Amino acid sequence: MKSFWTEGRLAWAAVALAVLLPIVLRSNYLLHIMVMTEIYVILALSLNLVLGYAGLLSLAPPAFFGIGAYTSALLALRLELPFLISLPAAGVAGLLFAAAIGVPSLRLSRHSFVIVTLSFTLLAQLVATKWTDLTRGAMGLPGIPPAEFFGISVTGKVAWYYLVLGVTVASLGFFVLLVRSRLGRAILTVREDEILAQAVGINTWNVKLYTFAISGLLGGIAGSCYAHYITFIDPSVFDFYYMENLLIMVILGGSGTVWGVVAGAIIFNVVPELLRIHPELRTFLYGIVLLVAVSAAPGGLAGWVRSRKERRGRESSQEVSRA
Amino acid sequence: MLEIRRLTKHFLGVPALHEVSFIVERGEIAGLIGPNGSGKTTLFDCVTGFLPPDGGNVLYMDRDITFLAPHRIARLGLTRIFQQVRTFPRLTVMENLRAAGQQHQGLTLTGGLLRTKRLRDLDRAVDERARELLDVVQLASTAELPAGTLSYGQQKLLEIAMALMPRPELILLDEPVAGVNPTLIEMIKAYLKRLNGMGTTFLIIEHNLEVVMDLCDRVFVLDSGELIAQGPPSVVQEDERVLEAYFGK
Repeated sequence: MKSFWTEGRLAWAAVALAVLLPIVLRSNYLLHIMVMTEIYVILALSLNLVLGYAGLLSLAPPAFFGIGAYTSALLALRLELPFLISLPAAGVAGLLFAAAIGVPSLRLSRHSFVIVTLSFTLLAQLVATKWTDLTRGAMGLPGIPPAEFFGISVTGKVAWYYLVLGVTVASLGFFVLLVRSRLGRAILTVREDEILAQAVGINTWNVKLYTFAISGLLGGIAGSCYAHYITFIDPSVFDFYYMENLLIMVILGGSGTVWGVVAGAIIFNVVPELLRIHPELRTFLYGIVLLVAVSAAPGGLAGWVRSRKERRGRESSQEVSRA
Repeated sequence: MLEIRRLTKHFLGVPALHEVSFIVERGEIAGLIGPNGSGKTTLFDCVTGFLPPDGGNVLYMDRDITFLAPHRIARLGLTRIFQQVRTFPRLTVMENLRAAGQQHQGLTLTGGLLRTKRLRDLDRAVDERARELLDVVQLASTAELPAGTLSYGQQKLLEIAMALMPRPELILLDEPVAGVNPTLIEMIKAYLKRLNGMGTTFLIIEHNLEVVMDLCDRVFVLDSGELIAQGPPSVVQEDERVLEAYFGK
């Protein structure tokens, strides 16, 4: 029996819901949470691609996020370039840095790769702090101009909500096309069995490099949105705090799935905000939640739903065979 | 078709292969036998690019492939099947076959995002080939199951089908019937003979001597990394050095 709610229809319904959301959410505070959630969705996709699809743990998404934020902010402040240029430029910066880091580090073992990506994030934060001529160091970059289209600048939470929603939906669309493409198939074979992938003619080295570079692209785009939305950035954009949140969202949502990770990003942004949990306590709680979840539901939310569906499928087919 | 010239490989000074030379002719089923640790799998690894040899050359269709990357060698039409069962466990059987076929049909990775008509046609050709092979190995009913849920024997068959996806000229098989039940052994033997009849060349590592005797036109015998005999199986079986290598003096 085919359900009316196919994957495509569900996706459109979700987009429609997101478009209508500001009608219900009248408070600026709630809208702010939603804009941050949208940015987190893009970042979570960036981690999900490497971790969930290629099976490589990258701790570099905050680095690409920060690089994107700084690239965008500097282009807008120093060269007075519009958002329509600084946004793609931030994506390209993330992509290029990812490629530059990927070329040496993807040749290492998977464990060494994790350490290199971690070091890169820490190093990027250090550079942002110490290179004061460029970044003003810990004082940060204030007054980043908001996005502007044809002379109309995007101000106000509702406008920002829709602008970032557009970027997020575009990123999601790109992501879905990517993982369903031939390259997406090849990325999965790297996760499943890299040796066999090579034996059947897949250039796993290129596949890993493309994957990591695209992860950098998404990270950079998320960073650009953040910089123009908040209008102020400092070296804390590289903070490892983001990484902890991302790991929770991706792993608990269901790494290697699209909608699971989107759901993870929404849940783990909105719920802690609404419960007003202290940030320090939040980190602590997240650790416990992560430990419990990976032992109880290693496939995350998406894996749990799928196994329930499968069980139901088996039961109904048993009923059929009994009858 | 495949020429191995003075191939040498050491592991930390211990010779695994020492100046091994032999030629596999087009159209034959050649066997590679020898006691455990005699260097058979190492030789396969060197030929398919997974290990760089310390000396010597590998020529495939008169082309030197000694230091080519594994995926390049596979794309030239020389595929292999591993000793341990290897599949992409969480991908479906069909997806496994697609992955095995996609690089060989002129499909490049970077072009993959765009769905041009040419690419869709190529994809369709890959799918057709996959279904054809699933029918041959009688796995059609499992097409949408994750490969990891198949039985050991079914996974062996899937592996063979994956190696066949690109229509290779030469397949290296590392113990294709190890741990497989007798009925399936007969099935696999029949496939190999049939494929050989259609022009595919094979080089097979196998411990099951009955299978070797039945299938192989010629065998090469390795002992402690050296080639000690070659010829038709019935002749090699009587060779003194071979008997010595297997049973001692």
